[in-house]
Amino acid sequence: MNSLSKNYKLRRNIGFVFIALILGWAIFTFLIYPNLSLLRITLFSDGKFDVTPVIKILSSDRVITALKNSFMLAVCLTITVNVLGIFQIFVLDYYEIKGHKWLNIAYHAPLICNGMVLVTAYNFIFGSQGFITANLMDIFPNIDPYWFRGFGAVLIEMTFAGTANHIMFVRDSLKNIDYQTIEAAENMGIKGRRILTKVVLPVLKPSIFAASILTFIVGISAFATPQVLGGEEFETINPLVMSFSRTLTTRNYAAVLALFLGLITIFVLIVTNHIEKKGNYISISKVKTPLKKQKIQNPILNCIITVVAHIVALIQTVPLLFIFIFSFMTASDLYAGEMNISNFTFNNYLSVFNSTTGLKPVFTSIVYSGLSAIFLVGLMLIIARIITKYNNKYTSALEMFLQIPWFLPVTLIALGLIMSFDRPNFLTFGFTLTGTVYIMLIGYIIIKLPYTLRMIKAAYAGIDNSLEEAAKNLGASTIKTYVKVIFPIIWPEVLSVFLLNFIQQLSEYNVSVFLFHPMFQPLGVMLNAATGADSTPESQMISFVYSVIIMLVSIVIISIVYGRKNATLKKRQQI
Amino acid sequence: MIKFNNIEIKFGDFVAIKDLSLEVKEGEFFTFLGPSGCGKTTTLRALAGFVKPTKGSIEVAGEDITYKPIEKRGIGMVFQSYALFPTMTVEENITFGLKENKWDKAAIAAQLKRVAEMVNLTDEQLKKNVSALSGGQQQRVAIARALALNPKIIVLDEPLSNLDAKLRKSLRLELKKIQKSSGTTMIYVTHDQEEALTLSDRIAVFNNGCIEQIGTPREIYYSPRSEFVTNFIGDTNQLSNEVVEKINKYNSEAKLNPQDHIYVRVENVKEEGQISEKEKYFVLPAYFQTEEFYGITTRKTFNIGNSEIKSMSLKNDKKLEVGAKMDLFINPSDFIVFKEL
Amino acid sequence: MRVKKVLAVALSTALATATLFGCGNSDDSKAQVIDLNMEEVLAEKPSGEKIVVATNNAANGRDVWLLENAKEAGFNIEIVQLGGGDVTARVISEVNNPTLNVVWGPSEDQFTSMIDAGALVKFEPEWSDEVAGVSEVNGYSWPYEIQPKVLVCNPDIYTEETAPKSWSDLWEKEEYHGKYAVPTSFEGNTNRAIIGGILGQYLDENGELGVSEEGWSAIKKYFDNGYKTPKGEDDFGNMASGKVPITYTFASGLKNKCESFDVDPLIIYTEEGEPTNTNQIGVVANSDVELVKESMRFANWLGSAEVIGEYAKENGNMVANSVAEDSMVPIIKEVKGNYKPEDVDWKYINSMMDEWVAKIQLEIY
Repeated sequence: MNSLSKNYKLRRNIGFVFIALILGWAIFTFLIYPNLSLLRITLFSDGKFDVTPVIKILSSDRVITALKNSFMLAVCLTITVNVLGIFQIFVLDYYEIKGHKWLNIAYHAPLICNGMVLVTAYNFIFGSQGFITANLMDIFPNIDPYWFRGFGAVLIEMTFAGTANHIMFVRDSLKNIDYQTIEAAENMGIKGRRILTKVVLPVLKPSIFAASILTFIVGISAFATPQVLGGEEFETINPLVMSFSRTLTTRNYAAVLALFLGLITIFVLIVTNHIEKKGNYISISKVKTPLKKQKIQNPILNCIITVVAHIVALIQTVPLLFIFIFSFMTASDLYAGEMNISNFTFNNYLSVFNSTTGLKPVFTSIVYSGLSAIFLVGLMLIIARIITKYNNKYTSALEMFLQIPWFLPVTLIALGLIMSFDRPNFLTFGFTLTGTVYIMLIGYIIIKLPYTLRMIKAAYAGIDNSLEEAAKNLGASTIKTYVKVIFPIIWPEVLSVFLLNFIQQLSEYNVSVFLFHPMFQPLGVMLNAATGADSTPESQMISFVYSVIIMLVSIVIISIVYGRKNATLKKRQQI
Repeated sequence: MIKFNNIEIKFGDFVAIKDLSLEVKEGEFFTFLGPSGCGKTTTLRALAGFVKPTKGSIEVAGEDITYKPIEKRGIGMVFQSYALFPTMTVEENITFGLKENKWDKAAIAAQLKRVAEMVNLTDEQLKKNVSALSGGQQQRVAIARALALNPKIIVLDEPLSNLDAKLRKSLRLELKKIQKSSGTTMIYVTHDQEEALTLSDRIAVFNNGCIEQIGTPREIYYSPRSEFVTNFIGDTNQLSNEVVEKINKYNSEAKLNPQDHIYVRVENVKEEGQISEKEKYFVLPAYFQTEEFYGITTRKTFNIGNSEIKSMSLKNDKKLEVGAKMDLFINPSDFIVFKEL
Repeated sequence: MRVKKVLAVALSTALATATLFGCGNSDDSKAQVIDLNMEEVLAEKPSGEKIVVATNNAANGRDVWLLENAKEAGFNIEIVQLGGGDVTARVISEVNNPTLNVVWGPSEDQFTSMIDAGALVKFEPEWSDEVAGVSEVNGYSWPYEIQPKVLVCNPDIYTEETAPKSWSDLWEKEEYHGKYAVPTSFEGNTNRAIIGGILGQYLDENGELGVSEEGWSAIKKYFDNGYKTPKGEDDFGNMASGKVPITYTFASGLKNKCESFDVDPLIIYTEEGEPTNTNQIGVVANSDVELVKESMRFANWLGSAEVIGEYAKENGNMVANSVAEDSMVPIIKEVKGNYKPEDVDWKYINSMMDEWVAKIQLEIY
């Protein structure tokens, strides 16, 4: 009996030690070592901590204001994205609203567009020389041409661009609501709106929390939008961090600022984790009745909500349409805010197709994004499973380490990689990574680790533990239980995470620019070479062409993946 | 068949099961009964392998299975939440274990047919996705799935607790029938004494991680060996000091000790018209308070000073006025007395 | 199935390229001193070995021009399009394992930091005499283009009399306040040269970061009274439309920008002179000697009078090579004849630029 017990423990422990060794190595090699050595070089240049950058930063009004702005933006954005996002979710899944199919597509549309290009498009529409502004000024000559600028503009753009992610995260939990709880509430005489606030929203709370954290991080690290739409009156911190991190002598400023941002983020994470733990509940419904869509009884209210829902859809799709139109325009027309259909031209496309790289960057980016997205999902399926199954101090530490990329500017992460692995290193078994095709893949994986982990963890959290026990009880091994029972349940979420990662990496720039292999230039680098500091108005037009290509690729991939997903779902629901 | 030898199970510092020993015979319908948190489910899960005992061993048919992997134990299980695989059809759920155990196709088809008939699932229902079924149908699937592998032992963790009363009763009967016809040893966990009493060959009453009493339903009901069992099983009055003293006062031969804990079941509290030999009973004057009418039976509450006593009776011809005075009768042999230690 | 296919394609490309380019680069090339006989190296014909040319001169079809001409000359090149700052940062951080071979386009101070990092090899092209005196000789990188930054004004709003005469007029005379564009980012060479050109007038050993208090106040006034062109507007376009009638540009941008916005601006030759730097070409150190040799041959070819002249004719550059001057377009010829390089200590300015920019970003901008 004793030997049996020992044998059992031994088998368990060998497995654990093996996994722990591999994870420990990977985390140390790719997350801790490069970042720590870069921070050491930048902050401790002469072997001791140089306080000058800290003092200079703290005494800079601009930085303090920018930090405040970033924080304010993050807080406000978290609120607005939640409000709009929840409204959209209810429009899609809770109420019966006309045009559901179109709304569903429109609300997800911002996902397929590169953030920088999207905000540029906003600017060419609403900016001082934008099309809408120009038309408005024809009607009301007294309008301030800079009306769409500053904090409000930034918040609006980021809200409309940011809800798609929020929807994807929160929507599933609405579908998990037991309809009987709503009926029960109705039965107790509770009216429509109070059912929402008292019965439905509390169920969504955990996923709203998780989505809020993601939104907060998007807000605090906002880069493109404040740069383009913020103007002088609303500057945020991340553009400064990025610009400092580019030059050798100012890299310490970037590091110090990054640490500041990191501290704020950690603080917020701790606070939200605390609140989250306090107010969590588990669903007690054993037999759930699927949600039935509600009709809005009041015809006026119904009309208002339908109209608002469609206006939101337009706001989220029209800029994309404009990007498409811009890609056919000439630079002078664009900057003049004139849309002369007679001047439309394929020249922008021709200059992309005829360039020496041609469409190769498209394929390069598809391969890199695809591989990194597959790898990320695969890796996080394992790690998130370990973290959710074994809740102890080791797994908490593991989770914390995997969130490191959230607290550092990606430029520093890229530089850390490039400088740590530019010679044979025992951590990489004597391989040099810098200059190889692999290092950018590693970079792509690193920067998306925290996000992927969060999403997949959330997917696992929704699974009833007894399913796994049931499968084992029926004789399935641990692996078979996973493959046949657990994985099919989280498959839809896994697909979504895969797609989101894939699409976002298609136009990745900040990591790519340091890590790409010269033979394989990714789209993001081409796109930014076209919008960078030395660029000409013509090259701006090229960026629209690349964006159109990115959108097309995204649409194709989404329809392939979702086509398959829907097919399997349908098969499941048949009969 | 199944032997728990001095099992102890700890979760961190919390001792869930203390030195528990128990034997279940082959073909027996054995029930773990107790309030929630008493350790009955934990013990069951230890048998299925989801929990490892910190001390002691578990034997099945002479083999020590304490550390045997879950999937090799061959113990069927029905979960409280059913744990049906939501991505599969009914048929796929039932045959899951068969495929995992590499049964051949023909055998799987035959077995599917057999267990589906046993639990009354139609062919049409077999093709459906499990989420399209009602609660009772889902429960049948869960039972069929556990039966499919022809396990020697099936354990059921509060399998009927999510169903409505009527369905619960009819499924209970079916379950018993299935158990008898298949000859399977079943261990059934419930907090519902009615379920335990109607279904079981034997019952183990759990409390605070220990077993209070093991016995047949009749033994447990009529000869409870502890106050806990007395209280937990059946509908019981614990007599207050006031009532005991009143009984002693009105009945000269009554020598009840108010220091003892004295119980009497509700059905043993009688009214005048319900007994034939009045002199064999102790009399207890009381005032009628309320009644609960169940159709076949009626449950009444009486006041005695500041205390209450409840009765249960079959006949219910007259409706009493609230506050009406009447005599209650209790046979001295119906007192269940636990001496104060 | 699809996933499998993508994986297969990805892996095979990855492996193929890894064997092609991943190997051979792993030695520590930083410490290596290559002592080559220039004449011998340059006398040889191109070997056709593939070299990677990183450049900020590839936009607007220039990459096609370069690729075709290089091919005709027998070179097998891969063009990597990156901004000047990005190229520099990459070459420096990759010093132990370079992926780029020839760097074409960054300014001399960017080359200085690459040289300081030990990332380049010494070489001397056949045309070194033809660019003599254009910039200080460092033995590693050589100028092919002169890049003065000129003030330009809207010709309908200003005449030679009413236009500013000097850079300092912009912030000192109230009439120009709000009428001129100032840098809004600090990464490009042009913007840095403008800042250097202003602060360079006020060098003072005892001042903060080597600049007198007066200098810091001047640059503050310059930014405070200027127009920070928001994204979505173009400073040159604003100048052309008269919205913000004064701006600046690098010389080689004149031709294209004038064509884009259909304007013939008034070019100001200021009293201080024009902040001027040169764009250069250099060869990245590599342990593969043959690759270095081929890179040198390519750099030598690209900077030669004939090739660079042809390039300048198409793109409106101001060539450094005196032999190629005739190929320049008229507007550049005119600038070349009239501008005078601002005479300040550019070497010192460039060495301080990062810190100046940091100070401006933190305290002034």
